[in-house]
Amino acid sequence: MDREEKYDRQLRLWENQGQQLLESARVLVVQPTVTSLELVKNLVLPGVGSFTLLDEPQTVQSEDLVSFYLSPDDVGSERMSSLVKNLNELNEDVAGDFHHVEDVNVWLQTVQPTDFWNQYDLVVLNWEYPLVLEQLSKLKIPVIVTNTLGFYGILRIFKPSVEVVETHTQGVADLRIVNPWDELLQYSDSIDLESLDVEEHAQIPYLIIQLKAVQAWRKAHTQLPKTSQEKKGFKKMIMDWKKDYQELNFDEAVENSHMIMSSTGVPHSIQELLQQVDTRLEEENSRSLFWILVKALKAFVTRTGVLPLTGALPDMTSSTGNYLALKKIYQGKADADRALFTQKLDKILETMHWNHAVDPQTVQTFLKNSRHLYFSQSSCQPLNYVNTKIATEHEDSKSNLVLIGIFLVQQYILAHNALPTLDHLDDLFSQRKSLTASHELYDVLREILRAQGQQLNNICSVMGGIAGQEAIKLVTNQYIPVDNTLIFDGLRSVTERWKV
Amino acid sequence: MDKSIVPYLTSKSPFAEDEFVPGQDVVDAIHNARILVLGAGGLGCEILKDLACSGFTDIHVIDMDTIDLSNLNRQFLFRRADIGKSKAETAAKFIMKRFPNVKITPYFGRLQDKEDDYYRQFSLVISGLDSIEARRWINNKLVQLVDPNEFDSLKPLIDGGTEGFRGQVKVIFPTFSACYECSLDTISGSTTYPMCTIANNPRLPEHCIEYVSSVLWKAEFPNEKLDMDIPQHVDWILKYSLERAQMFNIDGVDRKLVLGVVKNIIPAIASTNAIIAASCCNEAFKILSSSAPVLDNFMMYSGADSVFTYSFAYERKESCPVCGGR
Ligand SMILES: [Zn+2]
Repeated sequence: MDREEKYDRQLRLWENQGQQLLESARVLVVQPTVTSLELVKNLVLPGVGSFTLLDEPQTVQSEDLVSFYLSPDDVGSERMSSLVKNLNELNEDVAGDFHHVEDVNVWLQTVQPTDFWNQYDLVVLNWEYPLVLEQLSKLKIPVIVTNTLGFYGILRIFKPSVEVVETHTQGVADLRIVNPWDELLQYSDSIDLESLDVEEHAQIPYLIIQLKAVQAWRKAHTQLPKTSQEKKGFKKMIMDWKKDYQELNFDEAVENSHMIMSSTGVPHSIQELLQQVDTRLEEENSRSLFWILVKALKAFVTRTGVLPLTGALPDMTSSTGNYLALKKIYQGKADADRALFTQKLDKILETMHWNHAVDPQTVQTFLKNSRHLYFSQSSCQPLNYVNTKIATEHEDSKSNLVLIGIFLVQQYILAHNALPTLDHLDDLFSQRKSLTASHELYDVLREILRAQGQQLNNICSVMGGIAGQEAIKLVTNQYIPVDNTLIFDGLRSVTERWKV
Repeated sequence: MDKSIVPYLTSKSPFAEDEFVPGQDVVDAIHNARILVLGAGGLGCEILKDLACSGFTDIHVIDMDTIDLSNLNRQFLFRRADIGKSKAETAAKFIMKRFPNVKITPYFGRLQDKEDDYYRQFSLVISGLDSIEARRWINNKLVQLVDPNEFDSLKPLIDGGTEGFRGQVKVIFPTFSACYECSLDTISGSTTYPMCTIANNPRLPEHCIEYVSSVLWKAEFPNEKLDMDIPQHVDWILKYSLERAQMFNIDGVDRKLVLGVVKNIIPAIASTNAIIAASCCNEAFKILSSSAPVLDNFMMYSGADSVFTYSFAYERKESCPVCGGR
């Protein structure tokens, strides 16, 4: 009860399922910065399982109190232990600890034992250290790289494949008005609009009106309304059925008439998933529950031509009785669809010798979201001349230059273990090679370098906020994460994305 | 003094306005600016932290609320032991302990308690309020305070708001750019249901709850205001909502939904608050230092489906009841 109250405002977003995954997630932050400490705060507050800060041992000096999570009381103490103590204070449910290494730059260029990495579900880095990324990519442990340079911030997500069932994407539900099933049609036919009195007439749910309108239209036309003229005619027909001009249900039938046509069939994104399911299952050695569920979905669609019904019904003007009767029909069809889906799934599991049953709740969640499933693959390559050029050459935007500028600065940092200064401006600019012909890159680099290594807290907080949010998406496996590169430009207050 | 801002103000950005002259004067302008923060909740805690970390040293904060358990998942200046205390006072104490050179002046009360002279003392106002009414009030106040003959009478207002994974930042120069009232029709208020639905044709569990809390409660307790922070009140609403739902064969009434509907709860998370608050403070920093271009004038953020921002210039409305014709 206490926990539910404390987390109430977020449980209304990702619910218990997401919260449990968050509470079991273990996050490693290498060489914490103002930005990545903000990220940690944004994970500790909602109750992440644990966090570990990794860095060299060092003593807190009064002049390096740049992070909010070090206080004057900590001067003279060890930095990592002070940070962990202060961050732990934000939430008594979270266990934070730290890991000291002798030389973090050496550590970043050393292969670590698999057992070490396997302690973590997510790793946060400041820059794209190639050896670390390579190890984590093999182990399929997701990585967030985030940092700020002046008014600019960058976020990169490294996860070879992202599969999300609970995308929380808002879309139109398919209510099967143009292809109703028998029970729905029978129910609709049992209602005779003509014979109803005005009061009853005004309590018929708009879905029934739409079903009848589609039926009537088909009697006179070979296809559903397509041109704007036809659509107008369709709407007028419905309006002409009104017995009283105040009937809201007929207004709703007209207002929602565009959805009748746009929501039918299997969306393109889902068709793509169905097409590649067999290849994916081969790659994954049949161990991915997501793809097994997609395979069952494919079998379902092959058999029925449509996606399973969710049973959800939007609210609409109607008497309680009429609405509940309709809801029962939709729920009944959803139950039947689930039974058919489960049957297909069981058959697939059997042929695959999958030896544990799939939890009915998982099936339920999958079916509820079968219209909005998300899948994406990423190369997990650090930025280089080739992929940066490909990513930035198409669209003409100022942020392209910011991405190129950050790439060049990162190249310098990885090579020298130090930030470049304004003295390196011409040198860095000359490194652009064929990336861009624009001279404005010079200004972008100058903007980055004039910061002299000082980071703006506001930009760090924005990036720590975005990175924290993306970390939550990755560990709860809900909502669609950034795929895979994002820049925040605090001068123009815009974000821009690239798939590198 | 926070040295992180110094290079940004003592050197000139290639993207700054030509008139901008970098130097110690600009650093001093940030140190000496007096800022008013409205709200010490989810956004307010972040705003206070960000301002203190960005070199601001004279900050006032107003909040009429006390700390609640359900605040702790994002309002990070508060601890379990602080439950029941004033948000403004607790937040101020926390920040001042962390930054001994920063002065925070809290006020535990309503915006409307303060006179015009109180508002006249500030360089800029940042609002992290969740109430639309309070924002309209301060917007109106700051428009009224503008005296065309006195430049200092213009107080820029930066308004932040969040809901779940979404948020927005509005930069308002009262009487010069679109004010909060100008954009009021873009703001979605709370859901309301027609009386005939909740009284005669309930279809959703929300309809049952709404009927019990707005009709039955008043009939049963005409002299007692419904207060969902009182457990007995919640229990009563829950009991009769369940009864009504059963009468109409409607599923889905539970305590969580009852609280959500009656308190009009909006989902809130730390990360969105962090993003929006820091964007507000970034704009405040740019406005008061003139060191970089300022957002013109609205920014919408959504982190629900990947990350998306949309910045655009919202036009002032000639017909605006607050700033139109001024
Ligand atoms: Zn206005």
